[in-house]
Amino acid sequence: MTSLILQTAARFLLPLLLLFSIFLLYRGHNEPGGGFSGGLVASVAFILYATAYDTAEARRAMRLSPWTIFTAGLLTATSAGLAGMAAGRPFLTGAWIDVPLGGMGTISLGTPLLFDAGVYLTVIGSVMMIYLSLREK
Amino acid sequence: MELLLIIAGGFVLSALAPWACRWGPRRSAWIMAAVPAGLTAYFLAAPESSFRVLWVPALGLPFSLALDELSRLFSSIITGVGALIFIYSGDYLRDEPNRGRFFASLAFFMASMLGVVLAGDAVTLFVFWELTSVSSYLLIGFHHEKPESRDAAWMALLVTSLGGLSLLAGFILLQSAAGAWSFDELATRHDAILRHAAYAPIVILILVGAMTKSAQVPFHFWLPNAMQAPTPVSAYLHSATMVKAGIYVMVRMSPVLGGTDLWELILCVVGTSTLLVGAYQSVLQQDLKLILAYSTVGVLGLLTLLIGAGTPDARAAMILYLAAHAGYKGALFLVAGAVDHATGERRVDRLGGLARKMPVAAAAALVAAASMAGLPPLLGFVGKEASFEALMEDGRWLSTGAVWIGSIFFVWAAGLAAVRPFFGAPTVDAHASPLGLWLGGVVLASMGLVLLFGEPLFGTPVSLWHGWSVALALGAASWAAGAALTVKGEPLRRRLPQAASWSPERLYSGVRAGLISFAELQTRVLQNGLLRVYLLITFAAFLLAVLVALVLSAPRLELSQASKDIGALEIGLGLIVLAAALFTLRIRSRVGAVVGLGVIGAGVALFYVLFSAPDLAMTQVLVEVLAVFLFVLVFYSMPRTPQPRDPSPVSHAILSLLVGGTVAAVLLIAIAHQFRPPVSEYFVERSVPEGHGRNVVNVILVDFRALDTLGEITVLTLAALGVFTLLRAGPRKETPS
Repeated sequence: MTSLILQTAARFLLPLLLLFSIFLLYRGHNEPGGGFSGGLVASVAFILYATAYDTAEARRAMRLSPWTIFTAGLLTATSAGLAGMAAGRPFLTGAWIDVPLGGMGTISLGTPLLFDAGVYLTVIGSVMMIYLSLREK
Repeated sequence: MELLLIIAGGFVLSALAPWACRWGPRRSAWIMAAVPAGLTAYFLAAPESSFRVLWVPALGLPFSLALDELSRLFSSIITGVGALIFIYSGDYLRDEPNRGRFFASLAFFMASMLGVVLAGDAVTLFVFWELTSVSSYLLIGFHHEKPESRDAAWMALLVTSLGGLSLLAGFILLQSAAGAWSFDELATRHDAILRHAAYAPIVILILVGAMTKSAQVPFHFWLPNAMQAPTPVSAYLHSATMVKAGIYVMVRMSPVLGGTDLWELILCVVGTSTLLVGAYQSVLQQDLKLILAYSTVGVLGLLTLLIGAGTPDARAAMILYLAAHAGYKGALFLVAGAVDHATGERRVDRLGGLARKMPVAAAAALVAAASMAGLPPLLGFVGKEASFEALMEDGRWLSTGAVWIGSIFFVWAAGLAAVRPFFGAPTVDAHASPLGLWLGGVVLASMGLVLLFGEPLFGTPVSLWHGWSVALALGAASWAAGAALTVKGEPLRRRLPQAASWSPERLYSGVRAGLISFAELQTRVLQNGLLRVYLLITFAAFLLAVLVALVLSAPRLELSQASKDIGALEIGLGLIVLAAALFTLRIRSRVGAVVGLGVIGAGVALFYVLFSAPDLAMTQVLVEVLAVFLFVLVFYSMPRTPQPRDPSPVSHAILSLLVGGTVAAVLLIAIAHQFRPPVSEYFVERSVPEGHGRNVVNVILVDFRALDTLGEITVLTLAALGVFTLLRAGPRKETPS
C-alpha cells in the first residue's frame, strides 16, 4: 500500500529533516539539542522515507550502510578523545580552537563537537540497523 | 640471553609451522626438525648460563632462565626426542590436512616445556607449566571431531590445571614464607623453610601439583585416556617429556623442601602405589598404546619413589632410569605407531609375526624392550640395578620389593608390546613403512646403548658391572619371572581382575556429569526462553539486593524536599500517565497497547518539560516516535490473535508495585542525602569557561562525562549488532510497508 501523498511529502521532508538534525547537533552545545537528539531526528527521517517507499530506496538515500555509519561514528568519537592525548593530556581531554569567521566574529570548534558528531553518527547507524533488520526479516 | 632466544625461537617456529607445512609433508618435517636437532647440540655442549630480568618490578616478580646440570639433561631429552618426533610426524601425518596446526602445537609445546625445565624461579616455571597444559590439551584433542578425543583432552586439561592451581598456591605460600622466588635463593633458605609453620601445606600443595602432571595415583587416570592423541604426541608428551615435568619439579624442590619425614612419606607412599598400580594395569591391556601408557605410569611412580628416598645414590639411579625410560618408551611408542600405520591394528591379541615384513621396526622394538626389561648391556639394566642398590643401601626393603614386583610386570609388558607383535604366526598383513617412521624408533632404542657413555650428561658414573650382588640377583629373578609370564602367562592375563569400581576416573566422570546436569537444570529454570520470566528474575533480584541494602543501612526518608515543586499541573499529568498505564494493561489489542505506551512516553516527556529539561524531553519524544515504528514492524509479523491474558496478574502486580515503590524510595532517600555542595553546582560553574558551552547537560555528556557516553554509544552499537544477528539468521524477506 503506497501512498502518493506520503511519498511526495517524504521526498521533501527527508532533506529538511536531515538539515534540522545537523542543526540540532551543532547547536547542542549552547542550546537544547546535541548528538543524541540530532541522530534520532536523522534516523526518523530515514525511517519515514523507508515507510513511504521501501528499504532499498532508504538504503540508497543513506548512501552508506548502517555498519559503516556507526563504525565511523565510534572512530570519530574515539579519535576526538585521542586528540587531547597528542598534547600529552589524558584521553578525552577537550581541545578548543577559535576560528575567525570574517565579519561574523569567531566560533570556537573543539573536540567535544567532534565527539558529539561521533555520537550522532553512531545513533543513526545503530537505529537504522535495528530498523532495517526488523523490516527486512 | 641465549636461553631466552632459544625459547622465543621455539615459539617463532610454532608460528611459522603452518606456513612451512606447505612445502610438502616430509620435507617440511625434516626442515623443521633441524631446529630442535640444533638445539640438542647446543644443550649438550653449552656452558652453564643464566638470564634474569624483573618482569613486574612493582611486585618483585622475576623472569629468569638457567642452564645447569639437571636442566641440561632435560633440555637435551626435550629437543633430541623432539627432533625425531618432528621427522616421524611428517610421515605419520602425511595425509592429514591439518598438519600445520599439529606442528604449530608441537613446536609450541616444545618451547613451553623448555621453559619449564630452564626456569630459574617459581613464577617463570608456573607460567610455562600452564602453557604445557594448554598445548597438551590442543595436541590430545587434535582429532577434535571425535568425542573421545575431546573428552580425553578435557580430562587432561582439568586434572593438570587443578594441579597447576595447587602448584601456584604452594609457590606463593613458599615465597611468603621464604621471601624469594628463585630456586637458588630458596635452596639457601632450606632450614628456615623446614621450620616454618606453613611447611606442611606448602609441601602438600606443590607435590599435588607435580603429581597431577606426572600421573601419580590418584591423578593417574588422565594419562591412559590421553592415548587418544596421535601416536607422535603420545611418544613425545606422554612418555618422554611432559609427564616428566612433575618429576622435574620434585627434584628441583628437593633441596628446598626435602629431607623431612613428611616429604619422604608422601613421595614414597604415592610413588610405590603408582608403581604397583601402573605396572599391574599395564599387562591387563590389549591396546599397544595403553600397555605402554600404564607402564609409563608405573615408571613415573618408581621415579617418584627414588626421589622420596633422597640419597645421592637414589637420585643418581633416578636420573639413569629416567634417561633410559625416555629412550625405550619413546622408541616403543614410535614402533607402535609404525605398526598401527602399517597394519591398521593396535591390539596385541591380533598382532603377530610382523618381524618378516618390518625387520627394522622389530629390531628397534627388541632393543627397546630389552632396555625396558632391564637386560644388560643396556641403560635400562644400569638404571634398574642402580635403583635396587640405592633402595637396599638405604634399608628400604618394602620399596625394594615393590620395585622388584614392578619390574616383573615391566618385563611382561615389554614382552607383550614388543615381542609378541613381531614373532609367532603372522596374523595381519603389513605394508612397508617409510624412513621417517622407523628412524625415530631406531635412534631412540639405540640410546639404550649410546647413553652408556653419557656420564658427562648424567653427572654420575655409568657402570655395567657391580659385582655379584643381591641387586644382580633380583634383576635376574625379575627378568626370568617376567619372561616366563610373557611366554606362558596368557591364560592368567585374561583372568586377572580389572580396575576397581571406585577408581578416581569414576569420581572424575561423576563430578563432571553432575556439574553438567546441574548447569542444564539451572539454565532450564532461569533461562527458559520466556521474556516474561527473564524480566521477573531480573526485577526480583534487583528488588532483593536493594531492599537488603536499604534495611541494613536504615536511611531516613525526607519527603519535604520532594514535594516542593508539585502543583496542580504536575498532579494532573501524573494522573493522565497513570490512566494510560492502566489502559495499556487492560486493553486486549496490540495496537491499543502501543498507543497506551506512547501516551505514557509523551507524558514523561511533558514532565521533563515541566522540570526544565528540554534535551531529555526532545530525546524522549523522538524515542517514542521510533518505538511506534519498531512496534508496528514487530506486530506485523506476529499472529493476529489478541494479546493473551496475564497468567498470574496478582503476583506480577505485587512485584511491579514493589519494584516501582523501591525505586521511588531510593530516589527520595537520594534527594534527602544531598552532597554539600551539590555536584550540579560544580558543573554549572564550569560549563562555560571550561566546557565552552551554555547547555550544561550536553557539556556534561560530551565533555565532563565523555567516557560514559563513549561507553553508552558502544553499547548501542552492540544492541544493534545483536538485533542484526538474531534476525538475519534465516533467509531474508522484506515486509511491505
